Amino acid sequence: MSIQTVYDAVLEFNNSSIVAEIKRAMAEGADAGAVLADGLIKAMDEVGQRYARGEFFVPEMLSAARTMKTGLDYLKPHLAEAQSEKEGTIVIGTVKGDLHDIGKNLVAIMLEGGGFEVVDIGVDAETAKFVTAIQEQNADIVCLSALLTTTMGAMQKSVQEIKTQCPRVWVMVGGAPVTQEFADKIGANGYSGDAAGAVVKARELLAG
Amino acid sequence: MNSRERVLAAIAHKEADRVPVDFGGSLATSLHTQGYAKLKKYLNMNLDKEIKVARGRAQLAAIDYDLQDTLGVDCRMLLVKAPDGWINSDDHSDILVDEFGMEWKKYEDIGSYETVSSPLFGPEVTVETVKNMKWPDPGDTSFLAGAREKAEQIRKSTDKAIIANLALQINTQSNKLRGFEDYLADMIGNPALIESIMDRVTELYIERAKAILKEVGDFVDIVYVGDDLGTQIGPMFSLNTYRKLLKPRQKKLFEVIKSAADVKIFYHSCGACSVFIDDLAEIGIDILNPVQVSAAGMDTKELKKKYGDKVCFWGAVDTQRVLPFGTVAEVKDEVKRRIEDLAPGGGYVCASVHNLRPEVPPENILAMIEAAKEYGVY
Ligand code: B12
Repeated sequence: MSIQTVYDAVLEFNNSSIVAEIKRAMAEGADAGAVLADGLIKAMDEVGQRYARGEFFVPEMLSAARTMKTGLDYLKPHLAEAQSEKEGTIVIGTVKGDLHDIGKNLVAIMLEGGGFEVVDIGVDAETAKFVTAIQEQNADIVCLSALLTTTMGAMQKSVQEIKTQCPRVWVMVGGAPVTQEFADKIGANGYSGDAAGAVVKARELLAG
Repeated sequence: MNSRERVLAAIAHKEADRVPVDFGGSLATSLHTQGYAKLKKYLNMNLDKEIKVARGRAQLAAIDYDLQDTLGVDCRMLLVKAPDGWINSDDHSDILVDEFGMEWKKYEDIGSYETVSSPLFGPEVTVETVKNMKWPDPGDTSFLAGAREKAEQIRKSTDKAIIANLALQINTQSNKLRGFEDYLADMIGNPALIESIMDRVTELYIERAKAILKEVGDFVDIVYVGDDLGTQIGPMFSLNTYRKLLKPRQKKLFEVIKSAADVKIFYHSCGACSVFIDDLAEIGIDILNPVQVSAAGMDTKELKKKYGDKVCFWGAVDTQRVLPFGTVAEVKDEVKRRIEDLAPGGGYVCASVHNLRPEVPPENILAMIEAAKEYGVY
């Protein structure tokens, strides 16, 4: 019951009340893991579906995601106590030569909302930056975003290089001009046309 | 029938002798300077070695008139040097400040500029901040020096349709000022803030439109304006958000443009923007560009069926796959298909979907223009 209000706050973009709702739920006995799973994550799944159905647009996605993030930041220390298991660690960035970041940020935040640990290395990222981050974070998945046909080449190069240097990391790609066909061609393990799909794909990859 | 008549016929939804072709007439139908250098080299024509820049921050080339004439394209670009004159092709400093006080960083290897700071970035910004920031003076018309002479000279030297590239992008300018992500979130979380920014921008742009068209209005046929409304997979924001925030302000601006001169309005929006077309037509646009055919809901057959009597389509030759990666034969097929879909009864000007990126092969550019003239005959 009380977790429902956490869920609602995300879907109503209630950034100023989300922490209070979480506190209340926990005071009523809900554990942090349940608040995360049945409040925040479940709400973000719904956000993704509403976006896919054309009921939500980028502003709604962003606002819900920011609300979720406020809640998640508050929840994190409690989660460590409850040692709820992380889904996995993901490094994400926009490839060299490309400065578009809204799509990448949405994917990052949805993955976080989906229970992953996400390390964002920003835009215009050299291959070496991806590789270093993957190694330092011992990442399970790396996500590359490209919005320009011009930078699809950089994406291809980065993917090849990452595959040689970090053979056990799963590679996911996306961004406006990127298709499943292109993803297959460059040897990526996963592709999605939107942020909600990215979460599903990441879960699939780690489930094996 | 000359070029200008051809273009005006298309906009009036009449079949001319052939479908008009645009290459280099607008800020969204040209190409990157690197691409232009390649094209010039490939053509090996006796063209000016120097490459003129139409818009520095995007490294957009201004196509030589000689080349436009040789290729038989139907439009000419008139650029009124806007007061963002802080960037020009020979300014190589790293950070440049524009008239709003925003700082732009040059990404040398990418060859473009992006904003790195603005008076309206950050969580502390309120309606008060907007009020108190130093806005450009709407009464400043110093940037108009020489504009009338230039416009007159173009009109006298060519029979091509002339596009005054005013841009005047209310949404784009406002989101630059606020920062794209915060802007999008504020559109529903703090619309009052967004409206206060938009109001100042609209006010400024209305004065500019009046001033510019007073000078050049009688020499131009088309006015280029725009604001991106779409992403690859759907509208950027909902139709409701558009109606609440942007539409009323665009309407005011378009009314001013239309009453200042006898011109057609060329509206540019990237991405999946079909849901907005009825509203855009209602507030006075005549032309929709670039018709990004690879985005969701932008099927040219459907668009023609639904909106063909309301707007003239301008663009539609795919740049996300065909022009950069396709063969010459594929380019020709693409042009043929777009003409078949969009040209019947007029209402289509053939051009690439937006500016060509540097990787587009010169062969494909020329194939597009040739095919447009070949298949475009009515
Ligand atoms: C907004 C925008 C900009 C903004 C970006 C602001 C920012 N901070 O990101 C600005 C104005 C800065 C910009 C600049 C440019 N842009 Co731009 N831009 C767009 C626009 C209109 C929308 C992009 C967007 O934000 N969409 C919203 C987000 C939510 O969607 P998304 O990015 O597609 O991401 C979703 C999915 O793709 C997916 N996804 C994304 N990444 C990943 C990664 C993984 C791993 C996965 C699984 C999924 C995934 O999930 C996301 C969420 O659902 C597009 C139009 C379009 N059709 O996409 C053009 C577009 C991408 N831009 C384009 C161009 C040409 C440029 C410029 C070169 C223009 C110029 N000359 O200045 C510069 C490039 C600068 C550079 N080097 O990067 C062209 C590219 C054409 C081409 N041939 O590739 C487009 C397609 C416009 C067009 N119709 O021509 N742009």
